This record gives sequence, C-alpha cells and structure tokens, in this order.
Amino acid sequence: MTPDLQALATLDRMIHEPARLMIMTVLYAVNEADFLYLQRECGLTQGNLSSHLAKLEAAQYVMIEKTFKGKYPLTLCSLTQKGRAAFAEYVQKIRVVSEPPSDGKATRKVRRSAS
Amino acid sequence: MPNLESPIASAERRAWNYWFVDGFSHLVVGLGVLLMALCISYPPHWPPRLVPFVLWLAALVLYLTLFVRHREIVEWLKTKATYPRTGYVQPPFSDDPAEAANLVTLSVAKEAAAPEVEVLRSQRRMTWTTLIVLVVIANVGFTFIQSRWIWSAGGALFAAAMIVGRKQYRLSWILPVGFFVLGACITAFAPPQKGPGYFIASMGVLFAIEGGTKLIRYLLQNPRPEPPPA
Repeated sequence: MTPDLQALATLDRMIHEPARLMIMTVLYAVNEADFLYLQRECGLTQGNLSSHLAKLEAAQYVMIEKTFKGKYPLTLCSLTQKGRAAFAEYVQKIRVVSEPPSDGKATRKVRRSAS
Repeated sequence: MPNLESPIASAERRAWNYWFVDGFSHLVVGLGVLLMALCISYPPHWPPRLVPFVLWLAALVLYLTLFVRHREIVEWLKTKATYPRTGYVQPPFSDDPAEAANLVTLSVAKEAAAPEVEVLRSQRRMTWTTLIVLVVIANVGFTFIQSRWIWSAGGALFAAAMIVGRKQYRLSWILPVGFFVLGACITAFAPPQKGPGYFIASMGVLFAIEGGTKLIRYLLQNPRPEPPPA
C-alpha cells in the first residue's frame, strides 16, 4: 500500500460518518449553535441528531451545555479543542485526496503523457 | 453554474446571514436613526421648557442606548421571536460573546476558523470599507456643498453604498431605491434648512420599513412551534 493510501486508512471514523461530518462542519464554522439550529441546518431528526451528538460528546469532540438566553432554554453545542484539532486534521487528509500536489510535478507528468 | 463554495465557508456564511434573517438588526438601526433625527431637528432652546427638554433628553438617551447596546438589544428581541422558531447560532465573529456584534464589529472580526472563512471575512471587511467610504463622501458633501443638488448626489451615493452592502447585510431593494428617491425628493421639495433633518429621519424610516417587512416575512414563514403536550 502506498503512503498516500495509508493516510486514507487513518481517517477519523468518528467524524467520517456523514451525519457527524455535517454536525462537525457546522460547529467548526461557528463558535456555538443550539440543537434546533443544528437540526435545521443538517436536516436530521431530533433522535438522530441527539444520538450523534451523544457519540461526539463521548469522544470529547463536542461540548453540550444547557443554558438560558433570557427565558428561552438553549442546548448549546460547540467543538472542544480536541474536536477542532481532529476536524482540521480530517479536512487536511481529505484535501490531499481531492486536490493535486501543488509543486507542479503531477501537472508536468500529465502534460508529458499527453504530448 | 456549480457551487464552488466549501461546506465550511457555506456554514459560516449561513450563520452570518442568520443574524439578519429576521430584520431585527435593521429595525433597531432604523429606530436609532429616527431618534437621532429627532434630537437633531428639535434641539433644546435656552432657557429650556421642562416637557420638551425631558422628551429631547429621553430621545437622546434612547438613541445612545440603541447605538451602544445594539447587539444586546437585537439578541434580546431574538430570544423572544427567533430562537424559539429557528434556533440559535452565535454570529461567527469572535470567540468572546461579550464582544459587540453590531454592524460595525461584525465587519471587522479578526479571528478565523479556516482559510476559506478568512477569505469570506476579508471580503466582508472590503465591503464594509467601501460602504463607509461612500457614506463619508456623501456626508462631507452635505456639510461643505451648499446646493440643492447635493441631496440628489448624496442620495445616489447612499444608494450605491446600500447596493455594495446588499448581499453582506441581507438588504432588499427597498434601501437602494429608497435612498435614490429620497435624495431626489429632498432636492425638489424640502426647504434648505430642513434638509439634514428630513434626510436622517427618512433614512430611519427606510431602515425601519426594511426591518419591518423582513420581520413580517420571517414570522409568517416560521410560525412558533406548538409546545409539547403536558
């Protein structure tokens, strides 16, 4: 197995699941969001979102805090430092797969084979 | 045309837009500007009569409160109407919620979560700078050029500023068209000494209409969820 492919095998499976990936993406872009906002953004059912958040919380990627804004109760979700670092690493690995290397070697090879 | 925006940037942009989705921000700006117009148009005379002076002072205090506590007031309004309907998300401008998220600070946020988010924020700073430059040019014109036509030119500059900030601050066409018409109307109909007061008051009305229509649309589209049966 080549090192590039080996890197793919080390993708974080906790994040790689599509629903959890959506949740992590939203929380990575914003500082904190409540349950209802996440539900609407990700299009998940209440139970589904709840179970995925519980898994992410158990992995210490997400922090869930029950609080109030005025009289309105909020279930605030935010990424922990560990979760933020894990997501950044995950994105980095995925980018390696989707983007060609930037040093131009790959482009030159393609041009040579085309000519 | 395919959507080239990354999901992270898209999530950040949607969170940003969420701040303006209900129109409260524009409504509060409109009320503030209306109060400012009131304070400018009816300054207290010496010796002051009690009732007009108290009213003037109340308008001034309310205006300053709306200006300084913009974010807190908008957030308080959102807790009543927006968060129970469509949820809460912190505007993505700072890690510190104590920092004010008014139209100014939202535009000059420094921290970024990802490179694509940083690009979005630098675009926002550029838009904000352009908007401010246009408004300052118009105000300099109002101050130093004594001509009726300056109101038309200023209205056109304000309209241009609104077009520049249209996407960023989720503005409808009410404001650009309104400012253009407003400048022309003041040139044609207003007495010269009343020009500034009329312009600022109408600006407040325009922002209030903008916010009010957005709020009505939002409330109609998002009815309050039924409380769960006991």
